Amino acid sequence: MIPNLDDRGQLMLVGAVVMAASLLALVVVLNSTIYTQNTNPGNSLGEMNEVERQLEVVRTDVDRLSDRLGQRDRYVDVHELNATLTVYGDRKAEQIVDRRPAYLDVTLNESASGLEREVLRQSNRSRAVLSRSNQSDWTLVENATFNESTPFELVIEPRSPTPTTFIAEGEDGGDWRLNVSQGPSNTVSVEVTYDNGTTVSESVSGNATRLNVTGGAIDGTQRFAFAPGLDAPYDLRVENGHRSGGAYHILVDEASDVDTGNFHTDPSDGQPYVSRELSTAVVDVEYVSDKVSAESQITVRLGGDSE
Amino acid sequence: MVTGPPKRRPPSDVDRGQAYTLEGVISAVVILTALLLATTAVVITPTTAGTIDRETMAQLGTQTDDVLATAHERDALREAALYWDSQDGQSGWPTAYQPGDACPETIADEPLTLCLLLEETFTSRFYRYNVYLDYQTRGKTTETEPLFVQGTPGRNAVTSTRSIALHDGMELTHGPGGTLGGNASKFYAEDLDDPTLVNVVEVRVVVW
Repeated sequence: MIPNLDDRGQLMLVGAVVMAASLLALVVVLNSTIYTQNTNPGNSLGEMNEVERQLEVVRTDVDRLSDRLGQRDRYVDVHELNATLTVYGDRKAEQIVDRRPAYLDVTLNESASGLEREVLRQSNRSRAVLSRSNQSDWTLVENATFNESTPFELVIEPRSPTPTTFIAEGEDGGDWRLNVSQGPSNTVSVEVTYDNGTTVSESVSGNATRLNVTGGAIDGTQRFAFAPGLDAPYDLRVENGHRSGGAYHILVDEASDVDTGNFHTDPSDGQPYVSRELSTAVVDVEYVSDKVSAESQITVRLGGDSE
Repeated sequence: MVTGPPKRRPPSDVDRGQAYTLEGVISAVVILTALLLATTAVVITPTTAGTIDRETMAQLGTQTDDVLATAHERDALREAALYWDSQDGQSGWPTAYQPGDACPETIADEPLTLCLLLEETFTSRFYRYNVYLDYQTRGKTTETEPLFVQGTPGRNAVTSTRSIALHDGMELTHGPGGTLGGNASKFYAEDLDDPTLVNVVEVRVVVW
């Protein structure tokens, strides 16, 4: 049967409408695709930039804080860097969570860090020079060798005319004594007694003085010698520690014997503690948000640059 | 013999069919064009308007971020966070400062770098900005100290922040100077419970 020409025209009309509808559908689909591609990567990219920014800021801050700690005593110990990073990390985390649902953790990775000599420290000057168990006559360290790089420095504030005494005993006997007591008219008396019986006396104005015990300096000026005539290594003891308040730090090599029962390992409020000197600090940084999580490690060579 | 105009051939079925086809194609084009225009108008116009607005704001936000990144690299955030007049107990950036004025100078007689960066980036293009210093208290609340305020930010203002840890050995960058440790009681940010770290200050720049 030959098709009617009217039918053919109508079929073409329907075909054209179908084509138009198809094109329209294609346009709509393409529009959606373009929109999706533009939106999603943008959000992740913004979050990644934020992570990078935060890690950069933490790296700079950790560098500066480590440098500062190193400036004070020429070395940094595990406990003091840990304590500073804990306060810093808490504050950073709170700042970040105030602005976005994210979490930042900054911790010293002690096992990956480089550890050197042992550090004995009491950082609160108002605390008496007592052992962990509050003994006033006690041993700080045995078999220790002191030199310029392993000093014993303290800031001491005597509270009584009866002196607090630091005693160094040589390997082959003999002793050297440093007495610090409250002097008349707001002064501090420092008296050193050598093994041969001679003494050196100094009076310093004020209620406290800074002593470099192994360097022989009072308030930065050379005044006495440390244990002349005695053979190293030395045993270092304190007597009447309750009669003075003091902040001190002693750096000793690993051959020395430190009675860890006399020191805290996790101190609070400036208690005496034993820790290790850091040659390299490895700091773990973790950033976690609802979109991304990132981990990074900062290596600070103490006295050098970070990586 | 007079002949009249030639008589028109009556339309055949072929002509009618072609007319239908032509009509169909034209209708399709018209409908398609109308639909496309309508679709464009409905879907894209609001997005387009929003995109331009959002893009402008995003660009401004990126520029603000970049200024703070540059400031961080040049150590200008430390300089700004420590630009504190400990004698008067207030920001060293004068409140009378007007956009376009020479930037206030630090204790080293150098213009404040953050001010230079903000002026070069924003004031030259007629944007305005405020700079705030956010810090935390021992009670773990956040307090704000304005470093420099030009006015109330507009509805489309963008904000960017960058933090810096301040320690006791850092020097104040506004006269009379001195270390932060020595001026802790006169400084805006409370000294936190750490022998070295004084506070972690967030420098917040609002641009509109």
